[in-house]
Amino acid sequence: MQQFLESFLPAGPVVVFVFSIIPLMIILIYALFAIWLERKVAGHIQDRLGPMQTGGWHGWAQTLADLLKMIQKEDIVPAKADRFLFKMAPFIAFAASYAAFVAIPFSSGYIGSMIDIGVFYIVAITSLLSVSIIMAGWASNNKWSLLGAMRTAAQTVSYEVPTVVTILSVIIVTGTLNLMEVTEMQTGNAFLGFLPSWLIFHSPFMVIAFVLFFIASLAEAHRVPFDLPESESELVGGYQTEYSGMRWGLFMLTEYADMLLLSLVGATLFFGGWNSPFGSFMDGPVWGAFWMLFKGMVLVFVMMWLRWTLPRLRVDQLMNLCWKYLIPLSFVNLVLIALWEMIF
Amino acid sequence: MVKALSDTYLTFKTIFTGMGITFRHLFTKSVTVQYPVQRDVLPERVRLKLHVNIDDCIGCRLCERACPVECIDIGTIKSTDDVDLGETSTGHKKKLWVDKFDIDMAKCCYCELCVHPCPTDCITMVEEYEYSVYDRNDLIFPFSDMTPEQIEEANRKLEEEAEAKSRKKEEAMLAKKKKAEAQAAGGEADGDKPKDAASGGSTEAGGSAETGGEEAGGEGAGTEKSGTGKSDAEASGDGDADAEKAARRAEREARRAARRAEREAKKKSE
Amino acid sequence: MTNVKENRPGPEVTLSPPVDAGNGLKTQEMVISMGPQHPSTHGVLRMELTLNGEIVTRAIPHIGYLHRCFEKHSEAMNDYAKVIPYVDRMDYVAAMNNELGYAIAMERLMDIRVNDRVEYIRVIMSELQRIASHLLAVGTFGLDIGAFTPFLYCFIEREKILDIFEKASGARLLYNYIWIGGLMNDVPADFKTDTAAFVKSFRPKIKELNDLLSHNKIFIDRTANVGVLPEKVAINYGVSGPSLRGSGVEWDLRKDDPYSIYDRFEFDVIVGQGEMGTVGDCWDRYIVRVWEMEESLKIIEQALDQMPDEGDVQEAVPKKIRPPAGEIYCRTETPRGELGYYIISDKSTTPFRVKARAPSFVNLSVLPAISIGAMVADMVAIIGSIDIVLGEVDR
Ligand code: SF4
Ligand code: SF4
Repeated sequence: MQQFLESFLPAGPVVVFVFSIIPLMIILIYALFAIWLERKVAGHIQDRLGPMQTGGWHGWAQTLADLLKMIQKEDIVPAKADRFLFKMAPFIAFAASYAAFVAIPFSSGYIGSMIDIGVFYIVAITSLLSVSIIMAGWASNNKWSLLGAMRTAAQTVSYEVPTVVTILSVIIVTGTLNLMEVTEMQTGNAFLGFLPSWLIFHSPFMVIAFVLFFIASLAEAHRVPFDLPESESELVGGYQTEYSGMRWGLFMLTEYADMLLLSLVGATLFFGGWNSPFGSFMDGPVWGAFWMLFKGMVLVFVMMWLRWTLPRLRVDQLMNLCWKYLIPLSFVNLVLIALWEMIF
Repeated sequence: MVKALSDTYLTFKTIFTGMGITFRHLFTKSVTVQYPVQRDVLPERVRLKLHVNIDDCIGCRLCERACPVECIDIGTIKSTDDVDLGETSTGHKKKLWVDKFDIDMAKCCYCELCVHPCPTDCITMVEEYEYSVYDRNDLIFPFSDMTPEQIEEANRKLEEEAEAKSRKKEEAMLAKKKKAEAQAAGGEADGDKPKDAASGGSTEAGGSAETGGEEAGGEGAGTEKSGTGKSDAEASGDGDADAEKAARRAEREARRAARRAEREAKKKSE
Repeated sequence: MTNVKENRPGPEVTLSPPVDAGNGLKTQEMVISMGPQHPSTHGVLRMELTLNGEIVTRAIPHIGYLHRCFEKHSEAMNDYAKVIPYVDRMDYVAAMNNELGYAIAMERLMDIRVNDRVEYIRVIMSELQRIASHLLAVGTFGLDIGAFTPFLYCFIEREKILDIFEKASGARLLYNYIWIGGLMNDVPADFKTDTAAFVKSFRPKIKELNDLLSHNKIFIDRTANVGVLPEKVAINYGVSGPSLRGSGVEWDLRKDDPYSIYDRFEFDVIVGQGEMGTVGDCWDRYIVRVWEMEESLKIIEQALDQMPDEGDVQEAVPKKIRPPAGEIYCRTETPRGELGYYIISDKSTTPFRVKARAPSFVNLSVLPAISIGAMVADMVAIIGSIDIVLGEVDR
């Protein structure tokens, strides 16, 4: 990809810039689409239609219109807020989730940076998100925001553990932290000749690992049933209570970017990343990008579907679930996968 | 441990049941009505906006009095003897000019209490619901079709007539007084009677000439009273009213239906 | 200038002194104002919560944001019939039941008997309204817990009921339909078929609601053993309606003090049984409402069968409402509990006094007692499970 860009662009910073802007483009376009999709999914699940007017066909331009509206809005900072932190928080939040995309192999021809500790890097950098949320909650000088921030701190710290342990169990199988290599390992049909050699088909424990990972990633992305930091029926808006306009929009964008990020990580680790499900049919760098995003979107859709089905957990139950169920289970699973690896 | 397992099982089971239900709903038909484009068919009795067919209004103010929020404001002028206001379509004789009939839809609570007592069924709820405005005062709907000139004319005529009447009455009073004086002069024997007549002469005269007195009392009070008289009469005539009631209601329904059909036809032609 | 603080109404909240957490940091309770602009206080209730972390140590409800002088308004009306629109606006999600209570009170005061058709229509209407109101309660309760979708499913069903009401009365929320001595209009010709169709289509929806929400493990976890209202406390506070029955007290005015023609129907009084946790927890109060909808369907079915086709609904409507001097207290079972009207007449056409004993107001008073030790998230569940309507609390 970089060579391809260099072939028609002057070398140096321009190429690097264009190269690094690609995930941002993907995130933005995806966010526009995903917010629209969320509304549509919500609408149709609830026997409604969702947006129908803006842009003609099924209100496709609704998010765009909302974005324009948000940009025009007054940037309100509460008088008693900590102005600097308050203004910084949304940027840090978005930066954290954007930075994580650098280690995602979007296709066989494109990965932001071929770092060897890819997964580790992603896990580390997404923790920044909780820092920014605590910043937002604290700086707002609002008791509801503070409660939201407190919940987030607790939630993120706890859920990082099962996420990392399940990722670790995948790493045992792959033997590498580089997501590109992880994906390459899953190319071709291995099992029984027709199933793609995706890691989820590797052993029954992998399915459990995936379920654990998915639950933990829901919590990481603050989605229902784990959307406690912003639970609007309890904490008004949680850490977002005092935000409005584009700053709020950035939090929203971060939420959706996070969803995509975790879905893509899930797709890479368990569903063969950019590999085509049909072996070498529909394969190649461009199809790869398609498959990668498609797999990500399917997981995102499931997240949405869950959101419009389930109620929300309480904060102590959330901890309960994490420490009493997910963490022990993921450790047991880790051992089992290791054993499986040793035996077969 | 067993509890933990059964809890886990239950959690997954109920979550999947729920997801199944929402998934089914994902493909069921939406109930949304795309409002400005599609519109619901409204039932016949909807209460959306008041309309007054002013030609039929006899100015009896029953509607005004029935309203719990006092949002109907009616002004009437008694018509003089030389004008005939005609009859309403229900056969009621019109005796009053209705120079003001304002309904403040901003205050209205859509209770429809005003519609039912109307003797001529001229105040009705109509199927119009898109009438939001920027200024609250624009929600005061005037229904009277009288021009200011007409109102002035009617007032002037009434005054003239009242003057004429009061002159007549004064004359009559004078005549009476004279008569009383003559009587007093005639019979000195009953001592207190003449004094009484002399001091309270005017009140007694007013009382005896009942209608005259009322009219002289000014237009507002006069019409108010005539209104009350009417409603009381209706209230007291309970017996035959009961017998007629069903028939009347049927008639009213029919008339409403006819009116609605008319409106619809009009709408269609537009 | 007066000191605003000094004039502040309500009890003064005193916080416990700061506690040393043992590591040099001090912790103290926090007072937080929940409402009146909070999404889950069902209107404009304001809760003054004292929190220890997320644990509520004290809850004081502040009311009055929706006060509209119902009683004073009634005394200003020169006609008893004019009170009905105001009665509608007390509990605006169950207007039919409010009207029914008032109409029955006035009829008892004036000794009016209405014919059977009127009685049956009234019962059907008020049971439909009960379903509509419970649907709203159940739906918003789910919404408070975080489940958005069941709320809209409930609303779809509620709309169908409102359609039936609209056909009969012309209004969707505030009907002014049940008059003293009769009804505003006779029901339309297709009322029976409409209602029967609704009853038929609604039964499976209750099952769906149970599958989607009531028996969802997360929902149960959130509501069972939360906000437990023991039987004794409930009775002491005068709680009534589904909130009382949720605590296991079998008390339903339709059965225990039958008004209208409720003694002609067969139905069960649903009580909470502590199926998922303790008797009287939020889940019990919730499920009582769900099953009461089913009972209401039974009543409607029976009433549709028995309803006479003939009868003038305005037969007994008095021309002039001039009740004899006297007073009456009449109570009926609305979806929220015991709604009592205390009416004094001084023989004129103007009511001397109309007092309403609003169930929401009384039920709300139990809130401080059952919310100690709950978490903020539970607070939302408790308020939702008591199902208050602020229009009725404040009147
Ligand atoms: S509908 Fe009710 S509030 Fe409106 S004008 Fe008529 S009586 Fe008054
Ligand atoms: S009740 Fe009817 S006739 Fe009488 S004033 Fe009102 S609209 Fe006119």
